This record gives sequence, structure tokens and C-alpha cells, in this order.
Amino acid sequence: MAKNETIIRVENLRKVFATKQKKSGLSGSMHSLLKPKTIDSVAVDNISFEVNRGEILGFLGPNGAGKSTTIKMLVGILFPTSGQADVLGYTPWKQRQKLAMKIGSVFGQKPQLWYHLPPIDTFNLMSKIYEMDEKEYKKRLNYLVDRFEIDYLNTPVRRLSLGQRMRAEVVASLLHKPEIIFLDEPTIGLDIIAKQKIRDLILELNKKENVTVFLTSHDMDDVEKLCNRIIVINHGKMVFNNTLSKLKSTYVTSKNVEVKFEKSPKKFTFSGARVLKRSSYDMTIHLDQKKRDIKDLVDYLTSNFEVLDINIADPTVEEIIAKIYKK
Amino acid sequence: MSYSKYFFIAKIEILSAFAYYINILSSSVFITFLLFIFYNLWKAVYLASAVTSISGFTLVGLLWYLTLSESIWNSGSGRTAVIKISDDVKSGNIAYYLNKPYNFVVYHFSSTTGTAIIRSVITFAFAGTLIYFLVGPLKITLFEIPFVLLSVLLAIILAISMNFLIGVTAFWIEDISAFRWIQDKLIFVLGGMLIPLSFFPLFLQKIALVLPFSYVAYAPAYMFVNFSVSFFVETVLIQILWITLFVAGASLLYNLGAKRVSINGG
Repeated sequence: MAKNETIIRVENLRKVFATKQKKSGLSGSMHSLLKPKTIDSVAVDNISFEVNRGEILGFLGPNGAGKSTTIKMLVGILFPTSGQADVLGYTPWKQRQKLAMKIGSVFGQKPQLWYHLPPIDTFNLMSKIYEMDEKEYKKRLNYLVDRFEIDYLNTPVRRLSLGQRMRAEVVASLLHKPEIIFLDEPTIGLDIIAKQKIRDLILELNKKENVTVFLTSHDMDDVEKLCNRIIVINHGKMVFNNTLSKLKSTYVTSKNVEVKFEKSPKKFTFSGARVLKRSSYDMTIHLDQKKRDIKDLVDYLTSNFEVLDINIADPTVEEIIAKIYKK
Repeated sequence: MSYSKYFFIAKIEILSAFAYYINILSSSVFITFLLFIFYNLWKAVYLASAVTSISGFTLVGLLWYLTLSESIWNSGSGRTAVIKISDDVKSGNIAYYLNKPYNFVVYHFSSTTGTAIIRSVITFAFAGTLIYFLVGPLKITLFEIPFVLLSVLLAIILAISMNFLIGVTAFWIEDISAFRWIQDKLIFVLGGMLIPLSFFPLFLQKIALVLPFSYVAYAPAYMFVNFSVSFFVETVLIQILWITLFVAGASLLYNLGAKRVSINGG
């Protein structure tokens, strides 16, 4: 397998939706019936990027930024208004079925498991839909069932917890050994342990099978734990395309310092720092690193107060992204 | 690409439909009750007019006619699937059915036909049992049964095609419920659901036989009661013709529509 083999190539991809507009009231309805008026809204605006085999790419942006629209064009279920895309050598919207044999997708908000049937029924169906060899399918199923701890193969999906269901969803999309897996909000609504489990498994499969992962998520933990590279889009435009550490070094110019005190501190004054939150024994301090060094702050704290614990944290990726958007 | 997958899609939909068995059973019981009313109504009509046969139908024949046509009707013929399709088209969710390697049109037919057949069979079992006890068996030879079944199957597929065509117009038309309503009533009257077309004035019969609706209910049910090979051949050919036309139309609209799918949300 060639290293740095580009398997997704997107050039000036653009999608414009025509949205019908209607004035209020009956006369408005009549008016829009006779002379329909539409407004073009640009969901994806000339974005270009590439993805290499084996990468885990985080695709981030606020609601309505064009994330899902982009994914839908890349898996071929949506026609673009203009632009090119090449996924595994196919033009997705022209060769959808051929491409579908080689990719998997999980849309967190759109289950693919049959609701009233146990997961095994959906898995069996998937093996037929992807035209898998019976023996190969059994082997693959056993492996995934074991790794994803699906000990509820014969329980109707409606009786499963959200975490169990989501794991089964991911298994359903991995059965045919896809080369790329598109995950749209895979951890939405899950608790921390369930999230962690899904993340670990995604990482494991990425390492073991070199499957390329294309992930959109609202969950910044997902991104920090999983992604090698991050693309941020906003209003359909790409605003960032680089590694997570680059994102941090460019945009992280401050730290959040959480301090626990033995005795309630009296007066806290330190230029360049601002108290975000305080209670009698705890304090969260925001430090602008362009003005002061973190070491100075720690020195100041330890020499002036009885400190029990100090925790220095980067702002969350969410805060960083909010910063990019404001630019 | 292999086609056996569509068979399995039909199978899983049938399995899933059994989860709604209360729904299937209750509608079957309702149809059975309806036929009990029809029995009393028509018995009175035949008694009052002191005849054994009206337009070629005996009371026994008429009741079996109604049993089969109602059973075809109660197959659902993809009606719920169509409401779903039109909703999915409007919301853009239709796109989610396309992330797998199958042809969507074939997928739709295989997923709805399986369930429709099961519903039909169950309805017929319920209603048929009642009618059997009320008026006795219908004179039919074993030889005729496979022909009738084939025509019933085509009738169900025809109804599904019609509904599918209506469903995909949702790409252009916001609310398709009016179309569905009109089509329902046309099948009811011109399709011969309420009474056999043979009871209609001749000119109306002629019109009804030109339209596709009578091939959903009247033709297979009539064949069930008054079988003839020539009627079978004619019916099946016309059924296939209408199915081809509707499927072609629906595929064309679908393929045009899929290009303009807009999706809500980012």
C-alpha cells in the first residue's frame, strides 16, 4: 500500500439549495403559488481538500456549516451544483453503487438497523446487500461482535440502550470491510463510557485495517482523541485545514488554570489574568499568554496562597473554533 | 450486481411487518366485519329481486369476488410506504436510503411487495373463512388457482407502482395527499371494489376497463369467480403494460428528482 496515497480529492465543490420563500397570510400563499420565489442558499462554497489513506480526519463546524452536505456529496447521495470530487477513483454521484461497495457510513441521527428486529437480522441483510461471501461474512461478524461486545445479537433493536444500538450501527457499516468510513455524529447522545468505547474501537480499526475515517462531530473530545487532522468549515467555506496541534499553537494563546485552595483566598490580583469562576475554595483563572507567562502565575499562586491543587488546561477545541469563526 | 439482495430485503421487511401484527390483524378483522355486512346486504338484494344471478354473479360468486378484491386492497399496496417516501423526499431523508449498493426503485418494490403479499394472505384467510361458513365454497378448479394468484400478485405490484409514481411527484409537489385520495376513490369505484364493474352501465364499464384502476381489484377478482383462459391472458398483459408504464414513469421522475434533492440541516 502506497504511503500518502490520496483517496479523496475534492476540488471547488459547491452546493446551492434553492429555498422556497413565502409571504405570510393567504395572499402570500396565493402569490407564491402563482409566482414562486426562491432564494439561493449556499451550503458548501467552493471547498477543496484531499484525504490520504489511513487518516482520521475531523470535519468540524457549527450547525448548518455544510458538514453533512459535504459528506452526502462524497458518498454520492447528493448531487453538487458544481465542482469535482474523486473518492477511491469514483465520481460519487455518478458511480454511487460501485462506490457504496467500498465505503461505510454511519449517520448518528439516521439509524440503519431495523427497529423491530434484532441486530443479527440487519447484519445478515447487510452481508447480502454487500454481496459478501458467506464464510468471509461469518468470520468478519464474529470478529466485530467480539470486539464491539455485541452480546445482544438476538435482542430487538428497540429494546437496546443508545450505546448498544450505536455500537451495532457501527458494526453494520463495517461488515463489508470498507476502505473509508464516514461517521456523521457517531457519539451523539451517548454517555462518556459508551463514547469512549466507540472511540477506542474506531482507533483500533484504523490502526489494524488502515481504514480511513471521515468524522464529523459536535463532541470536541471525539476530535481530540481521534483525529490526526482537522478541517473546519463555516458558512460553507473552509477556514482551517491542518493538524490538531497546529490548530492549538495558532489559536491557543491562553490557558485556563483551575486552582484548589486549602484556605479561602483573600485578594487575587495578577495582571493578564482574569477570574472566570470562583467559589470559596476553587477558582478558575484565564491567563493571556501574550501578556504573562504561565510560570509567573504559578509562582504567584504558590507563594501567596495555600494551594492544594493546580490544573492547567488548554481551552477546549470548541472555544478555539469559536475563535476562528469570529475572525 | 447481484439481484438476490432484493429478495432478502423483501424477507426482512416481512419479518419486520410481523412486529405490527396487531395492525395487520385488526385491519383483517375489520375487512371481515365489512364482508359480513356485505353478505347481509346482498342476500337481501338477491332475495328481494328473486333472482339467482345478477349480471352473471350468483350471491356466492359475488361474495367471493368481494373477499378477494378487499384482500388485495388491504395489502396496503405500498400506501404507507408512499406517505413515507413523500415525507422523506420533502425532508431530504430520502438521501439516506442511497448510501448502500442497491437500486432505490428496486429496493422500494422489494421492500413493499413482500409485506403487501403477507397482508393480503392474512386478510383473505380471515375474510375467506367467514364467507366459507356463510355461503360455502366457490367452484374453482385447482388448475385455475395459480393463474388467479399470478394476476393477484400483478394487481398488488400495479397498485404499488401507482402509489410509487404518486410518491415521487413529491419532488415537485409539496402535498401529494390529494392525489392519493383521488386514486383511492377511483380504485374504490372504477376499480370495482364496491361492486363489480359488471353491474355498471355499459359505457361506464368501457371507461373503467380502459383505466388502470380496474386491474388492481376488478380483473383478478372477476377471474377468480368466472375463470377463462382468454380473460386471464388479456388481464395479465394489460397489468404488465400498466406496471411497465408506471414504473418507467416513476423511475424517470425519481432519477430527475434525485438530482434536485435538497437536504434540511447542514
